[in-house]
Amino acid sequence: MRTNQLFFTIIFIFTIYFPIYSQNLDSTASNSSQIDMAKVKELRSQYKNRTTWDQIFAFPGKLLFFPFKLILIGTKEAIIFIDESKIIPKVQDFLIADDGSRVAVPTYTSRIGVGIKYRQYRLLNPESRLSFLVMYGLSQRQRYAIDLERVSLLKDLFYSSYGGLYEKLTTEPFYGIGPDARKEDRTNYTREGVATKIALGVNIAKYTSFETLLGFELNNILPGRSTSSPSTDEIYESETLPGLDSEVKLAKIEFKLLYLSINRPGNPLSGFDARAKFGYFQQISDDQFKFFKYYFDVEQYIHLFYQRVLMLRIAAEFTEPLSGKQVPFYHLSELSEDRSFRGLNRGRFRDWDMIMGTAEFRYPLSRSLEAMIFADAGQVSSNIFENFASKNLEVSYGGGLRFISGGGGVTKLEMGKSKDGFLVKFTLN
Amino acid sequence: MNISLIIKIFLIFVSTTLMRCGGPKTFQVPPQIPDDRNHVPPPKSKSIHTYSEYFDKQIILQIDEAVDLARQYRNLTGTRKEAKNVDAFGEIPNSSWFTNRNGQRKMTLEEIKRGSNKNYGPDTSDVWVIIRAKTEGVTPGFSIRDSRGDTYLIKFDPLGYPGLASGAEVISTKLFYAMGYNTPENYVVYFHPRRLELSKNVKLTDKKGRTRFMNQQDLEEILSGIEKLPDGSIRALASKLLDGKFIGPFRYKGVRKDDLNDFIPHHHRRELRGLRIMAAWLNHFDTKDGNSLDMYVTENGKCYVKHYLIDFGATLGSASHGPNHLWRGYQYDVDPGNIIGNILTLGLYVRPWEKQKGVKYPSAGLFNAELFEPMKYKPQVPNPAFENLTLLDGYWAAKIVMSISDEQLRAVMKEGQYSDPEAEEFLFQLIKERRNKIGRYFFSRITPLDNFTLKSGTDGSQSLKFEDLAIEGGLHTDKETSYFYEIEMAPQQKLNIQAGEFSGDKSISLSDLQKQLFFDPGFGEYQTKNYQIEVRIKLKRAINSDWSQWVRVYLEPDITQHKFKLIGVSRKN
Repeated sequence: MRTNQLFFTIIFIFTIYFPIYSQNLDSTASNSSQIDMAKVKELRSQYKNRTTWDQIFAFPGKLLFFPFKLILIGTKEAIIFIDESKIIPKVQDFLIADDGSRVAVPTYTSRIGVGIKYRQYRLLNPESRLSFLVMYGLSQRQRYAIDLERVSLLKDLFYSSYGGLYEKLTTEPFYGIGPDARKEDRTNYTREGVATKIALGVNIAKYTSFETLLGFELNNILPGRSTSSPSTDEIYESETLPGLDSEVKLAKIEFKLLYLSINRPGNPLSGFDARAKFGYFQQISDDQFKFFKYYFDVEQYIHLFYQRVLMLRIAAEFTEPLSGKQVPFYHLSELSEDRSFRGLNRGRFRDWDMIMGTAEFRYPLSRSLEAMIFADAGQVSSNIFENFASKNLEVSYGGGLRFISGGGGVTKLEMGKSKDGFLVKFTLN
Repeated sequence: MNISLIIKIFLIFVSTTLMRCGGPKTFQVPPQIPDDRNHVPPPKSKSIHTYSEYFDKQIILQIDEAVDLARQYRNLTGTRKEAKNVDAFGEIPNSSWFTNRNGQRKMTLEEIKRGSNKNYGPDTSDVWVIIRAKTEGVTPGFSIRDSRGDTYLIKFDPLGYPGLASGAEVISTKLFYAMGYNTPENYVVYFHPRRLELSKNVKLTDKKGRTRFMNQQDLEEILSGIEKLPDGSIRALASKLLDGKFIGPFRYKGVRKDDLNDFIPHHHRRELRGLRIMAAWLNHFDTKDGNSLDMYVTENGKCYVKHYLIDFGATLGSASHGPNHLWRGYQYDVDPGNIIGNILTLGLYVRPWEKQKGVKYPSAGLFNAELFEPMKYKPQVPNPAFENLTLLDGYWAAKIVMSISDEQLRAVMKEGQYSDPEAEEFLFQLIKERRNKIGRYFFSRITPLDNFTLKSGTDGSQSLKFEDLAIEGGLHTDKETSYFYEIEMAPQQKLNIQAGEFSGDKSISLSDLQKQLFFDPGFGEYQTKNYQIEVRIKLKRAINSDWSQWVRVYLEPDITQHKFKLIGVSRKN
């Protein structure tokens, strides 16, 4: 008999004979008061779930799914283990106080890495909070910060904040200055810095506050650690790139006007988050760097309908050195800092002035999960008022997912496309 | 693989499918379903992890079913497997899972109000000793022992919503019991906190996973989050501990291997598939394995596993810890279909349930009938038995749901003891409308002629009587309905077809047929051989011009008695 004839004969037997046999439900079970294993097996065989034909037809799909199913079953067992061992509640017990006055949350940014943010609320007065941040990432990127915020003064007339920061950012990218900076000209540097601040604020109206901040920072620029691009100090000289290779100590004074009317933090449905900042920076123990910085940022959240939110943002930053003075290159206005431009790498465009706008549409996918689509556009220039042109705008667009936790924390996965390509960014808390 | 081989495989597949679909020409009486209440040794006690079950149902089960080509083929061709525990009339026998109650014999108002309750609840005149703290689930509570020595689980209504969870639980318990399921005894109770006495060594596992002894402060913390009446007393739900040995929840799929009475896969049991419709009716979205319970009981001298449905606090407009969420009943917690749809439509399509207005009555929670569609109802997590529901399973469930009359429903609503009569009336109207929607849906797709009986006159002549369940349920009237019948001998010998159209009296005379087949010498051969008579009936309502699908009733001759006997009903077309 030829092979395929034999094959079809076997298939025919399986698809005709066995189904007929298996559908014969001539039960011989009796209603005796006690049941024995043989009868149980017989009954289970008679009422079995699948016929042979079912099993054959279902086999290809089951086979394909099998390796993934093993992984999913492993995941399920891990869930059982975590649940039974109460790891999460025990960690929460360690990290979160019963009365909510102490909280620790994991955090992640692509700029640094993973970390933990610890907050102690109601330390000195009900609104005050003490925060510690420890973050560490690849290439020894790290950030440590301590902040004591909203300490009430003069019977709640004023509030004060104090802070200190150490960070070492070892693979900071630099592409050159100006709107024509090329992706291929990427270099990297290490910025090691210490900063302190004291701020005094006052609530001047509903949602509105005004702050004055005095700060000090010390920055060292060191060779970059990334091997995918040359170190900035190999390509540039400190004469052409102010701030390179030198320990720069800066004192600053900033004035901030804040307007915050969002209906809820983290995931607002409506309201404004607006800030205007004016700062003056002066080098200590040298006279090379003296400059002003003006910063404006307005975000408006518009609740369109049924949890669909349109977020519109416009931001601008202007850096202006005093006559004959300079600005460290890392203090230039930047188009793609952490919060702003998706689709472009950090530090992609720097110059004296920056302006950008964002439109983002968020909508619910299911409980706790949102999708968003966005478009960002912006430009840097030595003088944005003279050189602004829509055709020179850098544009990126894309979408992403937002997971909103019960405590209001937001985890984001954003994917942006620009002329530089496709970029994925993940942020936790 | 060449084209001719592919064609050969396809032809074999089609031919075998057609052969299997052809089926016998006569009505095949299914074998009697064995009783599953035989004496068996006790199975091992098992628990189910909520989170892993959630993961299993939401992810693994969904993908498993999606890649099951045999299942997908059956879904596409509308040839899902029918339930395996069905008799010749589409009914199921009484078993450890289900008891035919209101669906087959109308319960009295007293019976339906009492439900599964055997007494009046815990004794509130004496001390309640707290013996265990409830740390599972979303609502706080504890177990108490009353002065009679009975143990009850005490659960409370959420703050600001008096009667929400307790009312929903009592009403749903009684309705599920009336429909045939095994349910615990649930009582609405009022007690004063001073009746509570904390037993020594009551262990508590708090939200942070710490196990320690419960103290007075814990008790006060629980009580501080509970609505109190003006006189300081508290309303609660008292659920009596079930008799027997606790052996854990049952699964909606497969069999429990160590239960020797369990031989029909659960996802092929009609009562579990049909539960989808009953659950949809009462918005019982939390039909996960963990809200079921197997108890090893002793009844009538036999020890066997009895299967209960429990925990109905999340039904009607209640989500136990507060009113229902907007999406409950309309999408799973993780609903890939909805998620993909939302992604593709960029959120611009607003689903009707998203537009629901807020809670109208705190005691009633969030509940509506306007958006209710029986077959589109989705529980919190997918349920394997529900996903196997066929139209016949749904019809069976719809019959039982529709058997609950307005009067019975009102009687049950009173047991909820709502302090707000408007809330009670609001709920009643919604439950009634959802019930009627179920009836309208299934009775328009399966001809709702049922409860066939053969009546004999004094002269021995028989008539086939039936009920039109849509008329019985108040959905249609006699005036707008007409019936058409044909009588044929199986296998399909068109022997002297008797046919006719009628309305009003739901009865078909068989006397002429009796005379022909039993007494007419011209039909002598039929007086000795076996055969079946097929009486097929269809109906038409005035609102549309189409006749419904046939219902086929099968009779067998009893030659000695010169009568027919009813052997089965088929609704397959």
